[in-house]
Amino acid sequence: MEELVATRQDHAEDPRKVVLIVEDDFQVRWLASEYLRTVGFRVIEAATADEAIAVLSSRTKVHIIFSDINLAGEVSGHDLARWMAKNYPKVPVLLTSGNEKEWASVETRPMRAFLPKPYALAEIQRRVQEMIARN
Amino acid sequence: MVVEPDVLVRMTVAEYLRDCGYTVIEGVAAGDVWKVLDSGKPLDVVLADVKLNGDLDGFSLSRRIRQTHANIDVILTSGISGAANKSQQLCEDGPIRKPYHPKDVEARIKSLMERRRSSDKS
Repeated sequence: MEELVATRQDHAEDPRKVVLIVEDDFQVRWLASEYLRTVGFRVIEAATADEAIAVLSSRTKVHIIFSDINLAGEVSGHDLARWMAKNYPKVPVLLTSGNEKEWASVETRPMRAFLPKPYALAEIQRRVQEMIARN
Repeated sequence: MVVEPDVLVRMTVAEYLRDCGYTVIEGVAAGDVWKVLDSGKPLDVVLADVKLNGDLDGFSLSRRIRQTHANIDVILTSGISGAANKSQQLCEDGPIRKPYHPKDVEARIKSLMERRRSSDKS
């Protein structure tokens, strides 16, 4: 694993902004990740909030998190956003959900925003760029 | 396509292969491979760990791919002792043992693609 860690650190000079996508639906994650890569982001894919926390805990540089609220596993997107506010308060979190009941429950803060599903891929790009620039 | 449930391994290998110029799709379960194939997206190589999320393990995934998509090369990886013998019955070259460096994966992919090119010519 030491060699794998060494390889990750090779990206220290990479000028691309890093988006950590947290989405348990494979096809949604695949589509959004592919799109963000084609428009110039470096994208890390996590299928659960626990995976996202593992990535962040490995000291991998992340500029923004784009996370679904309803995730497989015990940790929701809301929980992840709260964990981020406590542990990485300078990293913005863009939450998404297709469940209309969730839409009103998102606490909008300077570092937290919400994008309802279904979303246009270009809309993710716009919101992500906006949040990173504001930071 | 990299099918690996450990996010840190998946992220590292996928990034390395992208830096080498490959288009990489990331999955965590065997079912993700079928979703890609059902979408019509062609795959050249599937790198799968022996242990996967979901009902099918890497061995079963490998067998099914060989039965239905003989044009796709499968490389198995394993951190489990004893998996090597079982894997070698499926893959001529045997599994890549964990921990591995991503360059070992790239070397294996190159070798498989070269072998496929040679067999296509003959």
